[in-house]
Amino acid sequence: MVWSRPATLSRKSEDLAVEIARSEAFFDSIGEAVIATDKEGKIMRINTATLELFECTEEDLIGKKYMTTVPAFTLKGDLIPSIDRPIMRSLVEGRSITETLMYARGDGKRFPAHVNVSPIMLKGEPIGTIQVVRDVTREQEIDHAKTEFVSLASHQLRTPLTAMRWYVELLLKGKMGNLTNAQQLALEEIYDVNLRLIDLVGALLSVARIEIGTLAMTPEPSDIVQLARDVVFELKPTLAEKNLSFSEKYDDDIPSMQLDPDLTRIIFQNILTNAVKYTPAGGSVDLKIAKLKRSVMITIKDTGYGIPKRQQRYMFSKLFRADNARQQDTDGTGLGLYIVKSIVTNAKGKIWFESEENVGTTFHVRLPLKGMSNNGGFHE
Amino acid sequence: MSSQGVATTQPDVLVVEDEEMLRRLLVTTLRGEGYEVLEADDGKEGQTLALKYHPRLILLDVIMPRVNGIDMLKLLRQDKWGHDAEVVLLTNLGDTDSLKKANKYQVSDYLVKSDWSLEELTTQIRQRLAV
Repeated sequence: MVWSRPATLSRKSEDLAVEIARSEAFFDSIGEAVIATDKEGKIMRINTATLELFECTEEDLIGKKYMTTVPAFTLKGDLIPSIDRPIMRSLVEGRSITETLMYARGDGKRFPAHVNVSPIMLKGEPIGTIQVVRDVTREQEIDHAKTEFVSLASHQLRTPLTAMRWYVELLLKGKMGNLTNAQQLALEEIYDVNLRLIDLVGALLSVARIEIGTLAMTPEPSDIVQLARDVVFELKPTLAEKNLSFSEKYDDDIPSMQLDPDLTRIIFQNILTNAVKYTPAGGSVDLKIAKLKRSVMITIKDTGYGIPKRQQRYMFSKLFRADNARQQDTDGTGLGLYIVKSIVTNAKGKIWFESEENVGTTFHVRLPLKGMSNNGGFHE
Repeated sequence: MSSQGVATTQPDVLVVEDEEMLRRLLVTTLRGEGYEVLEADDGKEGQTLALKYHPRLILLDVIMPRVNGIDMLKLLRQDKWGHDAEVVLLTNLGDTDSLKKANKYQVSDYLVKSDWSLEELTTQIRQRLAV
């Protein structure tokens, strides 16, 4: 008689074997280093990518304590104490932790790594962790190269534009001899075009900095109403020229806020200039700043051409201009609202709008009362 | 060396700028306003002139060959007189890293050249020198 297992058990065990084989193949095929530990931080399982990343053998890691076997350092190079390691925090806090830190390879050479550690939970208790580690050396090099490029572009583009601006200024003032009317007009045109180029370079650089994450925000105690009034003052001639009626309403109890004045001005400038530019003569533009419980709400309403419904979702996209805006004005860059949205988002605020074609547009910007956070440095 | 018209009394402004065109425009405009102006085309020469003549105001570019503006500022702040010298960064650079470094060395102002007309710049300088 031949002993055999019951058919169901045999199938179950076969299923289990298949599942394990699949899981192992899956684990090993992941291109990033994956390390599983138990709740004491002992390394239970690693994939091939881990061995390649740390340049070590399985024996170097399996069964060892992760904290002591794989030391981690801050980006500045200081050893991170065990208690502050993402793996420990993930176990203690019972949640996923993501961080960029430095690890060392087998030969001691350090590299920057992006780490994500998730706890393995069973009945509400962590029983181990799964850690995914990615070498970000190349990404950091690319970021650095991008920053260098923006810096170089900034310098190289602006320097000739500055020389052009200053020379034309001297010519226009007659400091280099008298000009005929035609020469005067031609130089005025050149001066305006030059200013437009300077603005365009500034906008492109702002966009590049936003994308690299180096747009500086340097808040100081600011009167948001006064910042709005300054921008309105600059727009008064255009408002009068287009015979637009303008109203402004500011709540009395708006406190001084920690704002970057230049960036806040960019918010007002862009939305108000758009409202003025895209509202036909005889229309109206209204500005309101109200204090809410934890924020201020800026509302800018116009009776302009409006934004076509099908294009509204693209309004904050880079280089996008609505069809009717292109017809009215050919000079826009399509960068203004993208920059505004980035500033507002960086300031932990919100921006949205309602618009109907040939009726008008209302923009809302909500900024937290506690204002913007400092990310260091100067800005332009 | 591009220093010209070296003053015997304390000069008003030292312009440290490697772009000859911009330096010439700035220096000519400021001299036209009646100021005693020294000029240098890099940080090394700028540092030498600053420590020798103690100008009332230094207009300092950032990206320059040999010794750049930030390095000159660093050296300047180590000097007894230079420690409190008034420096305005006049640059077309917007790289926050460099500017953060400059901020560390206490500059009075930071101006992006292309954003200012010569007249506006002169007004700024006049106000600073009038204090």
